Amino acid sequence: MFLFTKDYFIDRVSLPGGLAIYLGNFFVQFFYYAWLGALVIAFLLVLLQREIVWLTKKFGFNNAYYPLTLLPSIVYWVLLCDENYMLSGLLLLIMVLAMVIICTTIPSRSIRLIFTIVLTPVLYILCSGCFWLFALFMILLEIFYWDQKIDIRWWIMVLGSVLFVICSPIVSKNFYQYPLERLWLGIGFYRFPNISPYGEIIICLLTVAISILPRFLPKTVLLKKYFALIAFQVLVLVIGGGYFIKNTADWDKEEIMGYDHHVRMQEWDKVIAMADKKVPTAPMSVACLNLALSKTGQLADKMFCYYQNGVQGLIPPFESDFTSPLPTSEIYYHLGMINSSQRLVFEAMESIPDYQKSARCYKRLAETNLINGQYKVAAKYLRALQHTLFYSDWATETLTFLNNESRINAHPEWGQLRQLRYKDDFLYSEDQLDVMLEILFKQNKSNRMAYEYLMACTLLSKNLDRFFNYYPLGKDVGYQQIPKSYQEALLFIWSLKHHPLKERAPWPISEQVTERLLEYAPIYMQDKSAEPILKERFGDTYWYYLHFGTKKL
Amino acid sequence: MKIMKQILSLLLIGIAMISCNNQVQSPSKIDKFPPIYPDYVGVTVPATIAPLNFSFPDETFDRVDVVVKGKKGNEIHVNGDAVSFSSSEWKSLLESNKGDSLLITVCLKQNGNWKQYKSFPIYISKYPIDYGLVYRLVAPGYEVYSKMGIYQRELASYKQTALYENTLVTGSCVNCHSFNKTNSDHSSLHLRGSNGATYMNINGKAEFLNTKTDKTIGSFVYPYWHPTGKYVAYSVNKTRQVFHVAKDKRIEVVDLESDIIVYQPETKQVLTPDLLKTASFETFPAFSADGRTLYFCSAEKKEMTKEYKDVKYSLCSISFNPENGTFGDHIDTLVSANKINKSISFPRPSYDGKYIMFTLSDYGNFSIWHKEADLWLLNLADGSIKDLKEVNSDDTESYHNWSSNSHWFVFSSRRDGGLYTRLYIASIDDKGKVSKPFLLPQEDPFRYYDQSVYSYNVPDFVSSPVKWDVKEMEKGITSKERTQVKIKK
Repeated sequence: MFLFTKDYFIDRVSLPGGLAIYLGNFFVQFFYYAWLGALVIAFLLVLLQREIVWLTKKFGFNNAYYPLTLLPSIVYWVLLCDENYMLSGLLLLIMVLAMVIICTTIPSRSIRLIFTIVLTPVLYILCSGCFWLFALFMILLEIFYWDQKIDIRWWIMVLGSVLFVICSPIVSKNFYQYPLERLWLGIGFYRFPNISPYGEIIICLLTVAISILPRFLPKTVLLKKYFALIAFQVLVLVIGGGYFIKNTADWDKEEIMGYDHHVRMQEWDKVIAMADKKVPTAPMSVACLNLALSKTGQLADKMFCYYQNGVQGLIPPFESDFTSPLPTSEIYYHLGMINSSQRLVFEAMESIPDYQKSARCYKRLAETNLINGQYKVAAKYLRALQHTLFYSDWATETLTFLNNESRINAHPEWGQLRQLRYKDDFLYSEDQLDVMLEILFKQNKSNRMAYEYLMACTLLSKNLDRFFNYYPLGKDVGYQQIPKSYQEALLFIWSLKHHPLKERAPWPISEQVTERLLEYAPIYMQDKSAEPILKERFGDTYWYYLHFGTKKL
Repeated sequence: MKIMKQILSLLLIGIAMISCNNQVQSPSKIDKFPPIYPDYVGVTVPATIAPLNFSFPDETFDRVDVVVKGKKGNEIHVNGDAVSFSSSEWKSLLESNKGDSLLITVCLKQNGNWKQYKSFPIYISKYPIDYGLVYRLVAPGYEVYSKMGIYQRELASYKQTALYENTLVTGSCVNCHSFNKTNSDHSSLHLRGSNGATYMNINGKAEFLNTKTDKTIGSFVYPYWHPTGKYVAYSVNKTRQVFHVAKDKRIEVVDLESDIIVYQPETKQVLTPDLLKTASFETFPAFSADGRTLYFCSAEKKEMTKEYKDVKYSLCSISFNPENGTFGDHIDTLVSANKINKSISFPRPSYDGKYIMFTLSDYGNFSIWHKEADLWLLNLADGSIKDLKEVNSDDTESYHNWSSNSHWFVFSSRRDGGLYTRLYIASIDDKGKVSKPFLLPQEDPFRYYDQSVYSYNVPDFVSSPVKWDVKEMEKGITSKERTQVKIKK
């Protein structure tokens, strides 16, 4: 969460590397829109490349090697495929190089010497991390650009810089409670504080290498070789870069993030469209799909048209990390289990490894507290969101709802959720999801989602006894016909003791379902390993799931 | 030169006119107290407290004018867009009015017109207060914790310093800091996580203890120092969190088992009296002021978590002989949970031996999550208990501690919203009269507390700055070398 407040600014820049962290957070807020986030990253990577072009020119650049200046940006792109490398690391590098570029415009050697020594600790305070890159570049530029001799002044520059490079983190240890290693490598550049951002260091060294490489390459290139050289470099960069980006990015995670994003935005059709394009198998993705199916009134009919991985794909169990509780929180929210939704959102936010806060979580916390009538707590989150870019208007509008019971009750979402939530208290039990859903539904029988999740829970856990016992609860839900998966389950139960053709089931089962079971049963009975055949013809049925699907509780 | 003089004169006239325009003129009188945050109307404060700045979060105004007059003389005048008293003027005013009171007159300028509210008093106690407070700052979360730390706050200023932050050792959790009757030369702190230990610091000598033994339920938990510093009582608990589904409650923290032990730092031995490790839930030990009695809470064991609402703790005691570390042969019940049908937690004897303050809630022991939790006072002279109505609110009042002279107490309260715990301080005089509590002052209190994402936990007074060596702590925590405590046979 990025806040446009003085306190937020002071809080960030008061840490070593704080300015880079602050700017990083500033840009990350634009990831609210995926296309805008992509644009921001592209802009920063191009900016990095332009800086490297400037620097290589100082070291004696030959245009024939221009494509090489793209290498650090491409490698950084690969690095950013690990979403735990924070954007502040890229900004740190850009800032340090910018300072180098500014200093290359100083004609006086003495002033450059003073600036190098003085700015080294300043850059540590502003950027930390790879701040030493500044001193390294300045020292190399003295020799390779300014053509200065290695004399006493050069040594003063070297020793002074080295002293500050070594001492800055050590001195800051007296003021900040961080391990020395983190004070060295930077505090906010990798999301997990117990993992050091060595990737950042590698890129810094690559930046130096690319910048000074022209000194060691031929100064002139024959015209006939010029275009071949350019083409060769471009080919290697494109193929190599493409290969590494494709293989470094975690596409499964990207998929999960895509599902989560659409769920968060309540874009149910987009969730289903994603699933229709490529069937999800990860529990979080499946859970998002099931939520979308429920919100579009399709869960009971269509859930087995998609891959199901048991109850964990319906309501995933709580894991204490900063991402997986979020889709589950959404499910609880829409069910009306407001306390549980609130808890998971809070847990997810507190699990953020670098102790940042999340505007998305604040928004949901404001909503859940508002629904529960805890207006002062809701107001706290809303006032904070008023200082964000993308939530400000919503927060200001929502503040006007506080303490206005009739207005909240009339709200299409909050008012409805107030009606759906538990009236009587008991203790949450993850092992008894079906019991909790049953209570939820019985407390408000207009909560169709609760009923369908209850039935889904029993079907996915293959507990047909419970399914059969709970089924009659749905008589007033308002189905025009029994949903497909319930028909399949009911007919299956009936067929265990009766022949479906000889003794008609006491529920209105469609002929198509009956015919399909009559086709399915003999194939399965003859050869229980005929899974591929059954999958092809009956993969969308509950019977296939019952016999071959995972039930994971 | 002449022109310069003219310009200067015009400038001075201009400044004077602006100043005059900002002064209170013909205010309309409002016969109610100003809607200030924090509510400092009628509070009693020590003479050395930091300035009680306040604001008006529910009002929009152009200007505020505050006059603070001491009854014994002197005054401060603030006129601007915020109420911020000068530290030196405030100190001088309070010192000169110790034992008496201040009268605060507030005027607000709104839409060009001034209105003057009813003046209110702030009483300056004759009793001094300790140097500062130590507390944990942690988000009011569930099972997962984020950034947290133990902080020290100087009461005469707004200065807060970090004693230990869990950024120092990644993933560490700290809790249950404790000092010996506000003397920080004797301190105990638990660290949990993969580098878990109990950090004990006695007169500058630090140790990292492994407090798990095969004869006790678990590691040491709730601490309380013996006044001699030769013993520390701890509970040992097996604790579980469960969660409510309906709107009015969030969390329940229950003990599945709990006992009490007494640790002897000199010998590294743990005393495990049989009467304090029964099937019942014994917890929250606290030594009496003279060190000859150990108070604690005890509840009949119930099937957990099924019967969590039936667990009600009584306040009990057992005699203790500090010369040889032995205990009495029977338990006395001072306040019976069955009789009052409530549950007691956090007994805190005053250091002058007069009272025990405790938290009372409907059931259970983790009262911070109980809205109905309130502070009560047991008079040790006559055994009477009273509801501290002067300090209680409609929301949670929970963890509390006494100042070294037993005339002040600090407590946690959730009255400011219901979730984020804040600290309040109140005084008690020789006759047992309790004052209206005041919120721990901040330079810009509304902004500070509104933006803070932390709750204040386990507040305790300290009579001098805590001298923990952070580098030594880091080294000790990460080294994994631990001194093993042993059960005394």
